[in-house]
Amino acid sequence: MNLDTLKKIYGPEFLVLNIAFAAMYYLLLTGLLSIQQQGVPFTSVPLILIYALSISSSVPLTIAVYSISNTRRNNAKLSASVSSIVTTVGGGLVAGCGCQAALLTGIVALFTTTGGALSVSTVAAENAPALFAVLIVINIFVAAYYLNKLSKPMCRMR
Amino acid sequence: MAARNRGSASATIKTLQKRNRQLKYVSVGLAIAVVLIGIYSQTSSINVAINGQPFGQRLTGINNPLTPQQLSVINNASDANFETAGMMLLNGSLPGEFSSGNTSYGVIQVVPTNQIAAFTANGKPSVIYIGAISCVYCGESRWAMSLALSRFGSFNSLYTGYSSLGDGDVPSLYWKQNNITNATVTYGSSFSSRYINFIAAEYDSPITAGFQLPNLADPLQYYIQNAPNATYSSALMYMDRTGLFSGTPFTLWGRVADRGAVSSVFGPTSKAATNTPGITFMTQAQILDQLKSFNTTLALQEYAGADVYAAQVCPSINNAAPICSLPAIKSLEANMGLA
Repeated sequence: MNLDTLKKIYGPEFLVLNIAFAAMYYLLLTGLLSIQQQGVPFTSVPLILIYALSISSSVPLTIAVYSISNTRRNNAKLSASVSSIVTTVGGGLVAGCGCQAALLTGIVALFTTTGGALSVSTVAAENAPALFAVLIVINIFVAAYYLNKLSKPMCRMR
Repeated sequence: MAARNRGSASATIKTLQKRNRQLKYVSVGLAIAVVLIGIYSQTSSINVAINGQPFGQRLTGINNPLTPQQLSVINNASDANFETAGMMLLNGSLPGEFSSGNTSYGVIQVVPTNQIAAFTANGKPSVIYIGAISCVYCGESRWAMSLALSRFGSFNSLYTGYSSLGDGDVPSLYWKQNNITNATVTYGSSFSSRYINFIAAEYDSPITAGFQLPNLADPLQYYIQNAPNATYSSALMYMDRTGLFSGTPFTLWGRVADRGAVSSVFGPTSKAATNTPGITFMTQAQILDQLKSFNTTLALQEYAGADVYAAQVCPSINNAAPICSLPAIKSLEANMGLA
């Protein structure tokens, strides 16, 4: 990981922006959970993984925003921001899986039987912590990938 | 020649540098994954049980019959409690999760319902319960369900239970002693009533795992195939044919089919920061004590949930049970479009 690039990005402004993004993603995650759990934001995923996913998702988004105005060539603005949103929403869907009212069940049921959808929901519920770890690792890889890109001459920061 | 060699060496160095970078990314990712899994394994073994047993391993107090005093809390619940809680639910004064000063998470749904024909057996309409011991909503709502059922008959026995470790680990009541280690279905209960039948089918699975249902295109077929008699088979097929099954609990209260729990009472909010339901930190005895003393938000919410279930049953028995004459029950029937 290119730490110099990381240091250049994370001045006071973008540090604050990253914190705001992390808070936004935390609210999105708990909001998704709340919708699924009848207003009660409980989940089988430990709270620390909710925090970790919110924070890790906020980093690629911060890099994406930075890259919009600070690089000559910008690959990150779309893919990094989309991937961070997808991992956060994915986390919200996975963490909300359980015996009733899971959004994932409803979505999967559009393409298969109720039983098939419940099976997907059940597997997701059982493996929710591991799936969260995967989503967090994806965020880290996306962040690392774009930090590396931003350190190259063709994408060099202004 | 020399220039070509220099070029080749430069390319090799670049490739190696690229590989090194990739290796760094993989190493960092794996290290973080290991740390997260380690943190998770620690948090899942936090000792939260009142009685000192580790989270998810409270098996010593499971499948035990309630004492006569404990059973009496359910069987002899006061109608006055139902009326008080029902009125508070109706006039919006029941402390809820979004109310200021609340002390307990609770969601009681009073909404227009799925109305279908009653399932009748032995000349009586039925309450049909399809659930799973692993399911947190089933585990939680059995408290309110048992209170509601007690207004139409009585239980000879009820048993201490929990939802699974991976799904809340909430203390609960079981209708019968369940299999907590293997996949099977436990049918029936000790409930008897002159007004209604109570047909219960509970999917059993390892209590130390997560939420589980039969892995079939139609999970209800598993319940049907293993039904102990023709009445159960017919009742479960009846539920399957409604096409309303979308998870557990799936219940029928007279002429009302509930997709999911009407009553979800998750207990003290002071424990919510752990992201674990507050009642996970309580024992069955503590919950029964609160239901008996009827002086906590949790007790009010459980009685209010029971009111909704009772109000769903009353129209199917022409309001013949004494509970059906309570003003709160009549108002709930009207609110749900059942009157």
